[in-house]
Amino acid sequence: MKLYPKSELGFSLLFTGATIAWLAVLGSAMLGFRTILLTPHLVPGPNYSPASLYYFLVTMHGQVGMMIVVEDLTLAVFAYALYKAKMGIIHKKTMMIAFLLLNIPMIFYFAGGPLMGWYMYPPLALQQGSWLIYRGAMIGVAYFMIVLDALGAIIGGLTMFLDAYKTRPKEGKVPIFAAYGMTFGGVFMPITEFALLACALWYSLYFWAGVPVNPLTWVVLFWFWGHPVVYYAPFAIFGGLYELIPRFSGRSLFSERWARWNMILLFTFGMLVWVHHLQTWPLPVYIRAFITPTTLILAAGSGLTVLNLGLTIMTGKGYKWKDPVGLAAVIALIGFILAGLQALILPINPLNVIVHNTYYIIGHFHLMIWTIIIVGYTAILLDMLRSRMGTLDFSELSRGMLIGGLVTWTSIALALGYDMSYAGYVGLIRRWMAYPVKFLPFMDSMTYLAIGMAASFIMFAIPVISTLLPIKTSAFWSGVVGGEIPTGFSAPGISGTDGGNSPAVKAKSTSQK
Amino acid sequence: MSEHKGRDWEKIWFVVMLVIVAIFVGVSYSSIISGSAATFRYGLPLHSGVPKLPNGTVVIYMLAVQWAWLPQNATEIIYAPNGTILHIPITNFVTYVNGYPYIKVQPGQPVEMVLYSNNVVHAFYLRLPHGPQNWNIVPGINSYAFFYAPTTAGNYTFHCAEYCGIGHSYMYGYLWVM
Repeated sequence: MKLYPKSELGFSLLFTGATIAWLAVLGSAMLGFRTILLTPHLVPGPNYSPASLYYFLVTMHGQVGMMIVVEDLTLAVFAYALYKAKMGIIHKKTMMIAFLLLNIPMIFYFAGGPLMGWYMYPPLALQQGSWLIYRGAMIGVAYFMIVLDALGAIIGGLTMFLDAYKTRPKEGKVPIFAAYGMTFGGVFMPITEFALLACALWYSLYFWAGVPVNPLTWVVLFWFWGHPVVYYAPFAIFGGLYELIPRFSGRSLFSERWARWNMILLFTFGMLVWVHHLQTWPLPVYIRAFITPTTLILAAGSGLTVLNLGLTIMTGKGYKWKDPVGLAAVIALIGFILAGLQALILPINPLNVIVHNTYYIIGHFHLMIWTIIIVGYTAILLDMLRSRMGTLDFSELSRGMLIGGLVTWTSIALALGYDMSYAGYVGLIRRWMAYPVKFLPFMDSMTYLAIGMAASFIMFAIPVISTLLPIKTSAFWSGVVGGEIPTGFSAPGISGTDGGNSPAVKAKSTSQK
Repeated sequence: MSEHKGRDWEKIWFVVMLVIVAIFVGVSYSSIISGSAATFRYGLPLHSGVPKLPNGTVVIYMLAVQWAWLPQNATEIIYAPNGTILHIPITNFVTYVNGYPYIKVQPGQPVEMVLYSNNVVHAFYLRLPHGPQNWNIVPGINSYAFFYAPTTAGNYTFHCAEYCGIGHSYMYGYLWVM
């Protein structure tokens, strides 16, 4: 009986499966709390009864995203990068343990009904009333589940990094995709996850041994994980885009040298900006001044990625955007630019206070998640599925659903992201369950747009999931038709485009023998 | 290994990037130092950026609890001709309607809020026509908000902006410009 996957692709799909399962939890929670937000003004006065459910759903939504989905996704991308680079995972049992630690303990955590918001500031998170079910030492046990979760991410990242190092190419450089996976999934994530581990352990010790928690110290420590966590997946996905976009542009990457140098910049500055979440906090002026240039230099590094990929598209031989993979890759890039523009004012200290803790921030980071993470990862996943499908390719039905779903998803995401941000700019504070009536049109439009996004997600997820599941015959696959596949570039896994050299094709031909 | 021909776009971008960063940082720092920031300059935590309080400033000591704003007392700063600073206690500066505080100030009056919490982290958020105030309040550490009251009479709502528990939405009050 197989207790763990036997290949890099298998691990990538395992982490992907967990991501999709948790995304379903996260999305259901979102639809739940947005439904509550449709009518909170009907609750007269300080009647807190719907508030417990609302804040539980909000907390679960955020923590599933930040503590599980992001890490699962990063490791999925990392494993696929190793597969593409013909590098390997040696310690498969250790990886399986990491997978279990990352995904299972948090079920126990959520069973306690946490209400304190995903960044669980003290002393709020230390109050018994911040839990629906758990009390006393049990809360300490629940926080220890976060310790195990962080440990899973650390073990998974480090194991894959060490295995990648051992299986690196004997000659030449590590391919750019794998190099990004190693840097951000293998080193950046394990280093910064220690901050989450320490924060959660501190809470456990508070409940078990009465260890006091200093709010300001805890918060500064927390953001050393809480900010870098938003980079794990996007930066690993950058590596994928560096591989996919040149392929669909019909040329090599505009500047691989800068893609590699940028890795150092993103790695270093990704860890020097965390205090920009605390510009309205009583911290010394020099710390708040420090993060202005560091954040902007990091933004410039992201701009470099955009420029590099944009110039690759512009100087290529006509971008193959009608291919779902190519389309998803370019949508991820454009979405990253549009979401990134919103962030430009945030490190500017005098401007930050205008929007801190408002929906402006929510709009910005959700738009980032919806495009560079969700759509960017979809591009990589579709490429992965092609590798797995051997001589098959997506059918016309699949292509239609993928392209239609992705375009609808992104269009609504842009409307919703900017809707949220504008509402925040005019004063809508985050985590209000009840809000001034003037924000009702914003809240209603957000909810309906969110429902639209959920529908379009299902539209493009159906062909993905039906391909992910081991279905032997499917309406979503079809035999390769010569003209369907973009020519002039290598599409591994599809016979006729790379001479059958991809691992998937080799495996297939071996099994046929 | 650069794959492209022609201009060395990497170096050009590097210089452009540094210039853009320098401009943004310069604007940020200079607006803080000079006090011309969009947030109407004052109120950075730890009393940084708060000016010497103008004559006639009303100083309000504001306690944040779960889940209410409780103005404790207020004094008015008066600079006497002999150089001494008088702290004149103000009575009847707050009234409660349906349990929510209405803090009474004069149009254009300078106001300093001394913000403190006895339980969890809160944040004071007040959106005025000439810029918002938005300051976190950490238990055990005072935060400060300094602003001039609007010159137009009316009620201006202040809220808690940092999630502080299930009653967070209901933690608000009013600046009542008489």
